[in-house]
Amino acid sequence: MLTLTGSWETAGLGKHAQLALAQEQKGLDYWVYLFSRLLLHQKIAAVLLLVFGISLFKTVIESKDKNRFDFLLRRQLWFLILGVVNALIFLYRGDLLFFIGVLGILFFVLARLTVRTQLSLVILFCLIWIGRQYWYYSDDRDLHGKYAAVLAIEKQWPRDTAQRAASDTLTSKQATDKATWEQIAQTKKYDSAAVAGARAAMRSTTYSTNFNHVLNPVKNEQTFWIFREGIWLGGMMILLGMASNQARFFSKRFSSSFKLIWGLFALGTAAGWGYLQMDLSRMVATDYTAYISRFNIPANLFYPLEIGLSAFGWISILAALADKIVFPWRALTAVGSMPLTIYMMQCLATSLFFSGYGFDFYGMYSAGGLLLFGLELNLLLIAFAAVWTHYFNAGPLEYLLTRAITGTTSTLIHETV
Amino acid sequence: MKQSELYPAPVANANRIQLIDSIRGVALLGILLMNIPGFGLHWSEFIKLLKGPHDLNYQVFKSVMVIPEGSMRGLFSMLFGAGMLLFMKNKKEQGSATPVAELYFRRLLWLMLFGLLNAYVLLWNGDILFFYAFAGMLLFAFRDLRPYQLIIVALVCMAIGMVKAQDSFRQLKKNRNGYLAAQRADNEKRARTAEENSAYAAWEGIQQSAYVVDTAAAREEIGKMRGSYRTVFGHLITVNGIAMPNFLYNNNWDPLTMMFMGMALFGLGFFTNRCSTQTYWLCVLVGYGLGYLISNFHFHAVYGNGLNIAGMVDRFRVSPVLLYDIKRVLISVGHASLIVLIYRAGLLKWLMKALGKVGQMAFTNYLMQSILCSVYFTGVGLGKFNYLEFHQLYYVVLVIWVFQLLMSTIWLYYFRFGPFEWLWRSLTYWNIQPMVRRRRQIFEEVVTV
Repeated sequence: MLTLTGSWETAGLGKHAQLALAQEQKGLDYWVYLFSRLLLHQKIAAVLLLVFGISLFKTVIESKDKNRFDFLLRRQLWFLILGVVNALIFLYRGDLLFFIGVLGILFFVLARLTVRTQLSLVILFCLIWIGRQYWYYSDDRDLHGKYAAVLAIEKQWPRDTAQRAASDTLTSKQATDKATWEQIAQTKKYDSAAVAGARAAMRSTTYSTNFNHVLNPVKNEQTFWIFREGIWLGGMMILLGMASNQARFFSKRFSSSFKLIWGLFALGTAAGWGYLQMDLSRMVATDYTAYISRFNIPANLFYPLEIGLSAFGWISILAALADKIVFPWRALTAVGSMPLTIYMMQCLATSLFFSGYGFDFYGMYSAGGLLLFGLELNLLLIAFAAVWTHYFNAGPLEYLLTRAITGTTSTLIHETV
Repeated sequence: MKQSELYPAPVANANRIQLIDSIRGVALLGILLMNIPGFGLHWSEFIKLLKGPHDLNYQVFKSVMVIPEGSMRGLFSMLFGAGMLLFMKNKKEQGSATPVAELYFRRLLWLMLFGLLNAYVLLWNGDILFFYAFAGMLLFAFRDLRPYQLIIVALVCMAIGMVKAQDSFRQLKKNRNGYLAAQRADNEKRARTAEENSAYAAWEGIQQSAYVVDTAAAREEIGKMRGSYRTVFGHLITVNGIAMPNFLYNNNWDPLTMMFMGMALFGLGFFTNRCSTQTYWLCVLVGYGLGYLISNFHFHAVYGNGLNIAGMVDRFRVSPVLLYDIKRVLISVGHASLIVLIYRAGLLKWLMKALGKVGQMAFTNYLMQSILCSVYFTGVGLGKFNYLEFHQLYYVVLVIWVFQLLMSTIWLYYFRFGPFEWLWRSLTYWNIQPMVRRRRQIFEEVVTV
């Protein structure tokens, strides 16, 4: 499912293109975008993190292997390296491996905490994220206040510039205050030049041009985003995973119907909230000055609740379905048994298909096309995983990673084969 | 089995390695030599200083940059790496119920939080604890390597740092060449290409942002640093928000290199007085001799010439910044060897002991430096930010040194740990640690003395 929305940035449907789609509010592409934005975008990544939290808990608490910490740490280091490869060599935007590598190193030790403490930390992390957003928004409000003061001064001058007195000019500080706010408001708007620039760089057939375009955004994601937002959002999901595993929420302790109802409720609530938030975000993109004059809180203030509820809802629904339905899971289990290989293949295939150094389809597909691309890629990957697991014990990357981590070799080919 | 034996505990005083504490003490006090300008001066003062006459301030700056800069932090990082091995070894011997790895990572997570506290609450935007904590987490996977393997890992880290530095220099050179090409185009009265235009703007931006003082902006920032706690906090939150993730991602190779080096040297018995006297002498001679030469060249290449960045970029094909890592490894090893030789010769025993006490409560002393300097320099206390001349900052350093040497000795006479060490340990073991030393222990120590 990660393929369905994870490839957007790499495919050319970046922040600005999404803004344009959100503002259109009609057509198939808009509805696909709406569906993906409310149910999938970043939510599936959150599901992955929640599951990662569960796996960390199992490794730290339930595993009896005395080398488990060494293996865990080595694996996380490999994730960091693979994340850099994924982002800076495959040029895949939105890599998760580096992020997971960092989070695993930082938070595995929290698996030992009680459910209550873990949930308290989830709330704390959520509040920190919200607090930071509010802080940034307050800064913007201060800047907007200065801008409004400058406008008030300008209003006192005659409209006709010829009639203005010599003293009717802004001081350099006032001019800076005005320009600063105008620049901030501009960054929130759809920027066709940014879209065209990205398209020109990514559609160049030279790998180095593609690379140079990707380099700075990737660095920003791997530094500032992780430091300021990712740690709290990711940590929240990992701790939620650990706590739910400890509380055996997804096990047989609760009935399938309970899990299904709860899952649908959580997902529905999150989607409903997401829809409202989208409306506010649209206002921000249309006229940030008007938004900030009207609202005391930022549009995305409760985003962690949205993704937390979504991820929990998704896993509850999947857990409920897994109790009842057997057939489709076998194919998905094959995918789940070699997640690293499948993820890297997704990233490489997407990058190769869309970047200029590959098939050069960057910016050619809108949301509907990308959904089809994602579905088709998924079918191929499921088929590949099913065939591979029929002949082999582990995915190729999983095999190599295990070998690198444990230093031992295991049989790759099924004995029956 | 007693209940207390079931749980891991901090290392007893008797098991401490006095020499390591003394080296750590030197490093800790030495770090203040480099930190004090950050505490007390606005960055624009350095530009003025380097572009100004070669007076006393310049000479002091040069002396600090050539010898202790980088090497004291390097020494501290080396001991952090060695300390990690010691921690793992001690806990293994205790056979504690909680896995050692968990204790180790808990300890570092708390250290990370202390780093954030130091940067944001104690108002020190040059904190290293946060970076050490993250680097320390990465060390864990390498703890069982042999010393020569660790040296190779250290060299790889150093090489990665160098490649990144060279890449920045290459970018700088590219902009400079584009700028020169644009100037040529202007002289020849032909239109500039788009690339020349963007390189011209980029180069102008570099010169403006880093090498030209915006007096009004500087005055505003100085005013903020002399303002109330809220103003300083608000100002530094932006500074830290940019500097911390940036350093963590781009420059953590710096502490990592030295930590791996420290682990290797610890494995070789270098910090535990196990090498031969000739070895230590050789390290002093090569470390200081070669290190000084390289450092001097590095200083003149980077800061000499009135901070003429264009001159530096035009003159060198390879970035002279690359020499920084080499000189600091050499000089750090020189420092450590010299201290071992003094210790071995039994010279300045009282000083070595006092330094040992400083090193024993290094965490408290490091945070205390932030507290004292924040109180002295920012508006929270005396508001002397950007008030003293460069050389006068070192009077403050001297006072803090004397205070910490005395305070550490007196404190550890009555208490087992420094206050922050106690807090850190109690948080790590999630169990209040005994703090006060028993009278009997104090009596025994007095008798020994």
